[in-house]
Amino acid sequence: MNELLGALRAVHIGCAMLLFGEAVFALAVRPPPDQAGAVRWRVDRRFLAVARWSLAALVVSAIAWLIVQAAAMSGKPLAEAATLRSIGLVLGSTVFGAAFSVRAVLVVALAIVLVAWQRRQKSARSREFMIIHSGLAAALLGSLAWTGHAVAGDPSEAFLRIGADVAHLLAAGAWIGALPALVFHLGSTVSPQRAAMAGRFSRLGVASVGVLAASGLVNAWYQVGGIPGLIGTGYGRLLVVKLAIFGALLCLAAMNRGLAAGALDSGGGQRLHRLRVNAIGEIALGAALLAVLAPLGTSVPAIHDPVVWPFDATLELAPIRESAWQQVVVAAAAVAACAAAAVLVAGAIAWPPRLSIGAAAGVVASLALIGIILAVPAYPTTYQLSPVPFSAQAVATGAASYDEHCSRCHGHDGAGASLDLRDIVPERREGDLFWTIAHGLPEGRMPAFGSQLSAATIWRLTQFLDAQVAARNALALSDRLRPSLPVPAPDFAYEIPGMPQQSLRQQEGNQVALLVFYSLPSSLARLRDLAALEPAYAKAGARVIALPMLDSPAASAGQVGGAGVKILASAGPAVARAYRLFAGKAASRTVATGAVANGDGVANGSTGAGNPRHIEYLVDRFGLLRSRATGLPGAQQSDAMLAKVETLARETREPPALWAHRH
Amino acid sequence: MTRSISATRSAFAILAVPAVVAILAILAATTAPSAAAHAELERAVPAADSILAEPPAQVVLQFSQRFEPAFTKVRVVDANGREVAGGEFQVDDADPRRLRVDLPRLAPGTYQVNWRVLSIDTHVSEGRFGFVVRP
Repeated sequence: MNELLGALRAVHIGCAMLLFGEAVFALAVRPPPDQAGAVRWRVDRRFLAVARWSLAALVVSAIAWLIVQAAAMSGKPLAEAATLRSIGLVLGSTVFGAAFSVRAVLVVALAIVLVAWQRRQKSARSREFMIIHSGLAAALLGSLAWTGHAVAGDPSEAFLRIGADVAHLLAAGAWIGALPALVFHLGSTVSPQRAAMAGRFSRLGVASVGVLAASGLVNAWYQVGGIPGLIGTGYGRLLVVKLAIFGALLCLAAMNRGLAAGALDSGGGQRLHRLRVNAIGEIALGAALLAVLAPLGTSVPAIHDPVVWPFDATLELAPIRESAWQQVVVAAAAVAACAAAAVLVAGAIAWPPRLSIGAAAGVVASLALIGIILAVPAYPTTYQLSPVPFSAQAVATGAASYDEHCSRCHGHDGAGASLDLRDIVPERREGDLFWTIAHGLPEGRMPAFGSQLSAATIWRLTQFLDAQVAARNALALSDRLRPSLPVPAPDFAYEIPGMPQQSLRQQEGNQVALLVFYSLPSSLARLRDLAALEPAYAKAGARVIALPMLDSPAASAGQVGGAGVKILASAGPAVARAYRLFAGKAASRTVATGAVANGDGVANGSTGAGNPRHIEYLVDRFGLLRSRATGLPGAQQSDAMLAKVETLARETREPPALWAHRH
Repeated sequence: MTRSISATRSAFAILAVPAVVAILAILAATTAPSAAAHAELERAVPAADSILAEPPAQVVLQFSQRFEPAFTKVRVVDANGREVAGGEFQVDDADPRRLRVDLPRLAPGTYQVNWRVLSIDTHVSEGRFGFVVRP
């Protein structure tokens, strides 16, 4: 079904491009610019015949496209979907259908214009017909943007993306759609008019290429996102093929530019002939481009597709972040590569071969140097992000898996097996960690767990490892705001009676959160204070979320009074477990031990190392833990807490990232 | 001879620009953000696999792309597979990528939300998740 859709789209787009392209040719390329009057606007029978046939093919392909699309949307087989009711639903209730209806009106208008024009060929109304015809053809081509990927994204980006799509379509139509007309009008005999025509077309081509490149980059940014998407997804690889065809088109066009420049010399007939042959080649490449375009339009954009990296290595700038001399070398090599490339292409024919060979060698050597410095090992999952989010649930479940499978070699906090995981994990992408856990390391350094653990379990382990790193950083948290040690707060869902379920990382209006883990009965007084202060916190733009510690009963609104109903929350046990990681030196040792996994025989604080009984965390607007206050706060500390909340609420910029690769 | 040299040279010079841009782009893009592997459903309230003390009044689904309401279905079924809601949903006024299904008062038990969404660029995606209402 997708292949059929793709083929229909290709035919349809091709017809629209032809319709628009021949109008552009008639307007801008064929007539000499200095000749005024009615001659400029008169078109021959051939023009009208091409327009008629293109329009007919356009209509047929459009109707077929509509029917096949209705089938794809409803999930029914083709025969069932070809009913009036189903098609009516598509036309009336979808964006695709609305665009289709608008385009149907444009087609009818265009048909009327063509019929009327045919009748009035001899009269002097050609100018008006030409303008209306070109406008309608442009609208028919440009409106295809509303059937593509640009229309489905974030509404705030829609204007830019649709605009880029429209520009892309029109530029392609003006250039490639005008090629058949060019081939027809260039005979083999030289004449100043023909030479001038070739020159004008070539300028049109340059302008068109510029617009195609710019608009293509915009769309690629939103739909591919980067090199990993380009190389590691089906969509991306199709795009590479499209770019290669475009590159070949560019070469032919560049050659034509040179040929057109010399078309008036002796031997000009040969040049024009060559130009014509090239133009026919360009038409063939244009058809190939349409063939690639078709599956691109029906595939999932690369940015929504997991990336499967095909190579054993990749380039990363992050490892040389600390090393100034390596950065200088890479930058110098990049500049050298660009300069050598420019020398190579500009002097390919005219300058001595030795220079060209030298330039080519320079390009290769510079790129190799960059490759050597920046290359790091890579695996198929390197560029995949965890489908399991950084949540308390994932961290707690990951902790249990870690105890069972990893702690034997890696120790309870990662510092075993002759390395500290917490040093390694921040330097790696999640996808690398996933692969290493699933496939182990060579030479028996680490076994492969892929057969024992599901993919989801392994991703949860990666989230737990992230949390371990965060926990180590959290040792430096104090009750003062620290700007330079961001610790991401695991997300979780919580319920406050009478309100729908909320989560720490709300979607809109990220608020500062004061997260209080309390124990009854010692925390009761503080909870009462917080309940009384809740309006002040709300005014400062913060939420107060009070959760009981694992071994404490939950407080009730009656005990707390005031706005207690607004602050007393309940959440799964995973939350308290996960946040214990950040409780500081005293408590960190109890994490990732059997005690945590088995429902908590951890003592009430009456034994040794003193598990804190009351902890208050401040989470900023960007989901980072910024302060931790252990123990019950006095009056002064309580005031200071409100002041800290106000400071955080005013922050507009995220603090510098600790890890380059995620969250 | 000179004119043909300058003509071809200018032709190849045009290629120098894309070559340079390509090299720079490749270098610049080595640390580009990776393609997201997240499913189309960005978040759900109640969150997947939640255990709730009170039955939720509604299910809210937030998607990553705008969707076509005419071709989108959401069903909430109980542990026996009986549908408790799903005839209708409302698209959020503020964000056309979010929808809301109002729920009747749910008895304690396990529930499953099945969704099938047609995004505006005509791709279908579907999924399901569960939640539990505690007695």
